[in-house]
Amino acid sequence: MNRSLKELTSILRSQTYTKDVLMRIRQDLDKMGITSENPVTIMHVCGTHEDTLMKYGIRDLLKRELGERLRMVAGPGCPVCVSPVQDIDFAIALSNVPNVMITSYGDMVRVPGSTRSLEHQRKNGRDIRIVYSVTDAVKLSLRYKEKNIVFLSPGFETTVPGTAVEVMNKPPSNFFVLSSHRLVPPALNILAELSDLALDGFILPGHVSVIIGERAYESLVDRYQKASAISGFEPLDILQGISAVIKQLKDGIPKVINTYGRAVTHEGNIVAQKYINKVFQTVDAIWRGLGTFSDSGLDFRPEFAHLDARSVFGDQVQVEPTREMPPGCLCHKVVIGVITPHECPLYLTHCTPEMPIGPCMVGLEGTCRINAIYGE
Amino acid sequence: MGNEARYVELAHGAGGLKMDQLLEFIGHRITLKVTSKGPGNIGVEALDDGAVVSRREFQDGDIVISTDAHTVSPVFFPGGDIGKLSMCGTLNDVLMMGAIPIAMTSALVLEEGFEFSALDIVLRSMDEISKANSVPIIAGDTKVVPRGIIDQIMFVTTGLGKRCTKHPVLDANTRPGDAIILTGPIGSHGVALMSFREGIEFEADLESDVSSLVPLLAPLFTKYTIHTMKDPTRGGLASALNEIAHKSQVAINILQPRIPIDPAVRSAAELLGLDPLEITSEGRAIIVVPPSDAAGMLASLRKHELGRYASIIGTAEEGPPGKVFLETEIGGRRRLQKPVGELIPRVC
Repeated sequence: MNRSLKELTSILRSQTYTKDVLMRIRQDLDKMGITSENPVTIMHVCGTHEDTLMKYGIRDLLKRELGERLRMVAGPGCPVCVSPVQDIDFAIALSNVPNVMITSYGDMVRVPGSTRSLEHQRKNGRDIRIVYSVTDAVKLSLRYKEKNIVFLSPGFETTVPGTAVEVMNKPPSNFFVLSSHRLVPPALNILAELSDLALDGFILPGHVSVIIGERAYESLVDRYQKASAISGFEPLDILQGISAVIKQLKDGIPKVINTYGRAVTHEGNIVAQKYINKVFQTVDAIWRGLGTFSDSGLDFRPEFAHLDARSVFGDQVQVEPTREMPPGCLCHKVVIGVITPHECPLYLTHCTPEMPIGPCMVGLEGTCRINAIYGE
Repeated sequence: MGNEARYVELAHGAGGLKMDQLLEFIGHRITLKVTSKGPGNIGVEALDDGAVVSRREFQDGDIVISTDAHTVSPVFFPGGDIGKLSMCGTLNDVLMMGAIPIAMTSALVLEEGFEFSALDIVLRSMDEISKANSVPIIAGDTKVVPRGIIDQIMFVTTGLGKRCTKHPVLDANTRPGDAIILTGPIGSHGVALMSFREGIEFEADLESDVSSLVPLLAPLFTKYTIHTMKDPTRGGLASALNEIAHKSQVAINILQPRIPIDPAVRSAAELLGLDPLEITSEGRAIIVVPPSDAAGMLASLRKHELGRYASIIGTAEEGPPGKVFLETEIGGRRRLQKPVGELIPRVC
């Protein structure tokens, strides 16, 4: 499997292969007697999957080939969108404390809190820096020794190992982390239980699975009997994922199929998992607009409390009362696929990528933003 | 300058002896300073308050004028420098109006502490482009500002040209049925700069495509009917096509596999998480022609080194007006919009 990037992408973006897989999907749907009256509903839970679906016109292709027989629903795959408003408000309040610098990713800085964003704080003279990674934040703490550097750390299992490694490497004493990490499998359990979603299967996230491996989903499939496929991010990857889910539905044998074998193993990245477990422990966690899911978030183990921005600065900050969503914003319904962006009255009327109101229009992996950019 | 200053000082902009030395330094390195020896023309060597271009230079052609401020980091990049960029950028803008450039002016702002050796290279690059395109620099100005006011060096160049096409060439003139032609592979300027800044090296050497399109396009202005021309600079192809669609009130359909992109640019963009369609080119043009002229224009472009990979990438249609659509490499269709806001680091 030693192919150059060029060879690989020419295969994974080939029109011929695309047509083959689409034909296989159509044949399976035919055999199952699927019509627009009893469509198959598959949810993906990764913002980058939605990006691929839209960027390559796959949604358009699926619609042309299959009509309304297949529904692809975008789930809570945008970490910025599900990061709890309480964490953003805490970061905003913390930025008012003298000598504190808040660092985070670009979309995290723009996402709205209860009444304002970190970007507003920056405009009002607070020290807020956009970084590419937690490592950049550690570098800032070496450069600005007189300041307290707080890294607001969002993301699923993909971004956790980076934070864990920096924590294990004994960062400078003026470096702190505000953990807003969330875990994918617990969220899938909740989604599988939501009967009004009527999900037939899941496309599982590629990068998250690189870390946690196929085995992380086995209990989910055992318990809820949902057809599942791990998928990569090229057009053919996603189509093969969809095809694998539909084949399971046709055969009536739900399991976890790994269609992203060039990156994902059964065990996952054991080293990364060890780092995560050394530094973090699972806690019940709020998902923005969705409520609290048990064991779905990560917080520091007690021995790392000296790095935890919540423990260290908790009694110095005044956090404002929580307002979950901006008025009129239906992001909490978009995030779990109950409605499409078009069904939100604010979508492209008041809420646009240039002037976003809700988190789903801010997050680079937000369903509203992706649809606004690529949708017809 | 012999044994004199290595660095530009504030005194070099203060109007005294040092100022004269700086102006001499610059003047020495610019060859063409007046439009022609013809009567009435006054150039930069006169050191007067301005230049004069005799109206005979324009015959009966409309006068086209375009101006652009240039700042780039790094000042020297693979494939060029700010001197070359500030000349080519403005020459190309004049061309995009269907005009042949006749003269340029250049205002130079230097940050205190800029090295004379670097200034030497930048000015020689300008001179080279000026000579190669037979476009003199007929007026100029130089200022030195204290450290930190600007980033090293900044040029404002203005180009003067005479329109040679039969009809005005405007972003708003594209009509349904027109063919959209791209003169060459896109994105290498932006990707070369970005990978250089990030310190990333790729298998192939990535170089900016910065170049003057005068030799490629000027001979074609009287040969074919051209409705619109636009160079895909800031915001790349995505921005340029949307501006044409919006101003002309047409839809534009683009076939992604027809868009020439250098494989090295494609790989680098992939690794940097950038979309080649949104990346700056500095030596490419979109040319919109009626269908009857499409094949002829394409063949003529391909005869020239700068247009060897020219391609008809799509067509203009009635509607929906103002929108650009992309048929992707796998055969799906989606909207192609202007890039939104700044390129910001994402979570994963």
